[in-house]
Amino acid sequence: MLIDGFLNSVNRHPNRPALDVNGVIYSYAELAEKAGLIAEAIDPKQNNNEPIGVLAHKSETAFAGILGSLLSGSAYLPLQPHHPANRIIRSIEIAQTNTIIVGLEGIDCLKKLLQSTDRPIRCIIPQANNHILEKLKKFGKKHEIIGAVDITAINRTLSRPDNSANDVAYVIFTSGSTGDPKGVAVRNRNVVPFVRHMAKRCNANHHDRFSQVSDLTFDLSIFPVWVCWESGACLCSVNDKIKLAPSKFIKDKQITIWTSVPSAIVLLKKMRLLKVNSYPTIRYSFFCGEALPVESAKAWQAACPNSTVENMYGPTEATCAITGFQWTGDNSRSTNGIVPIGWLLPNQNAAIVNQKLSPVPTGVEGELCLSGAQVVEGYLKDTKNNSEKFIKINQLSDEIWYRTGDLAVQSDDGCYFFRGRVDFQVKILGHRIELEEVEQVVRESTRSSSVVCLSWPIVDGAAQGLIVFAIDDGINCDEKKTIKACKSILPNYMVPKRVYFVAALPLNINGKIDRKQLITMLGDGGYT
Amino acid sequence: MSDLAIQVRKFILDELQPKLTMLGISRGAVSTKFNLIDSGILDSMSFIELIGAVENKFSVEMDFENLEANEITSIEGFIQCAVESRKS
Repeated sequence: MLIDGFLNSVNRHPNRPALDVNGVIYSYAELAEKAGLIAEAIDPKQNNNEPIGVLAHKSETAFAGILGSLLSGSAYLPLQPHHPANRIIRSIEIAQTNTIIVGLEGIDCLKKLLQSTDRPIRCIIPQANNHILEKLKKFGKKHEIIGAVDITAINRTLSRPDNSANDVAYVIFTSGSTGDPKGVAVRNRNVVPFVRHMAKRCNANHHDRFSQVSDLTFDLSIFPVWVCWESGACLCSVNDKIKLAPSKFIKDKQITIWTSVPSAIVLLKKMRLLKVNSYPTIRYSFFCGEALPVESAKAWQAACPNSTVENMYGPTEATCAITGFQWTGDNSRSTNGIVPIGWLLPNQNAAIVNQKLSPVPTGVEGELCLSGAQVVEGYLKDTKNNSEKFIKINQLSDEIWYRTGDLAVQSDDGCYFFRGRVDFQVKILGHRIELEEVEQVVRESTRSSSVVCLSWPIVDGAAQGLIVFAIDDGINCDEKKTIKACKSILPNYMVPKRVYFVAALPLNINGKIDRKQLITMLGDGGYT
Repeated sequence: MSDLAIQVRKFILDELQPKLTMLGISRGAVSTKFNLIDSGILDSMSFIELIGAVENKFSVEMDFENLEANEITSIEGFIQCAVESRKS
């Protein structure tokens, strides 16, 4: 079970640091005690193994909350207090959540939730004083509010919950193209092999210090949080401000294992925080969540000369990461300026299929489908998406495969290469355009570290042209020259109408480039 | 506050004016402890744009290497960082 790694570390290293959050350090014994109290406050009679919501963000309660949920024998469902209340309500309805653990930073959001849902909710707020509790109790009698006083009255010894490998460990919602979020329920048998493999892969031990940058609602968090606690190491939470300038944080906390999306590298580069040998303590870097450009890998490796740099790939449905590629500084394997996604983790399977869902030979591009120990069975209560996304493949065994929507190609020696999204293909006047192809031409021409191509404007559902945004840190960041370069390589219909050079690209809550915001910035008349 | 610090503060407030107006924050209400990120005035992208604008305007290269995130993102810390960069 996922909680076993943490419990073993509590036994082996009770006095070693487990968590460093907002300037407070918690030993394994202290964190276990906080989590144990929360677990006890979860009423097993009310909770029939439905996931426990954890409405908290980078706080003691966020981390003790996910541990407490698992200790109670239930899965955890991370909820982000900054998300719109309606989206959170939809998530807890789909997951049938009856109990929510709330950090003080989640109180405002909780008020909105309690006002707008008919679902009776048991709210456990470990740090709430009487004043906060009295205020919350006004939000209707159907909800139950439990605060610090009630919790500290509970006396409990820490014990291993009675769960099986088949029980759900966590539920993470991903955005759905239909507008309703899709709940991915990851079972112990999916996540435990991943955590154990990664702990070995990065040779983690109790002296390590993991950075925890991404939100718990983003499954990139699975690697640092659970591999850290599996290894008896210390998890160092990076708050939203530190994310902007983590240089001093990395040095002060002596981070040894770094995890982030590749866009974080671009941000640091922009702030001139990636000087040669800036971060000698980092010995392993895990990049995942979007394509890793060669230029970013090079810059990171130079700043972290003692680090193994890995480009990991995997959708939430396949538990954080299912393939990995160790960057060696040799970019001969890279294509389109992008680092390969590498080889499958043990006991996982991949197939590349054509549009008829038949496997294609090596060297031929197709949609990447996944199966194996880490791949989930389907979305919560979403029969439409399940039948479209979880399929059987002609000519292959009877198992269920997850269609990623990612295009990939495999080389003869088994290495996988990411080639873009099935759904980033656009058509302009009937011509099929791969946005990544345009991006690559601009990237080569400008040497910009980050380039995004969008189809815009959309009139009556049809794209009229292409717009490019690029970070102005290259050598040829000039609009006219770039368009000329595109004209020399691409057919006319693929040449962007405008190329905007900007200081930075907007990132979404998960730190990926936010294409939707770029479209919003274009507005009706274009970017000014 | 040095002349340069006053100039930098004025420049930053001018740059942020549209967002301050949108959020209904008067210039006088921007105290030295005002945090550019916590206040919701800037996100990571616009923060980097502000750095670029200040660097261009005052011909400085700001060095964030040994600063706490809290220092950099408070208006006072940000101004101080720009002024220090000019000196060196």
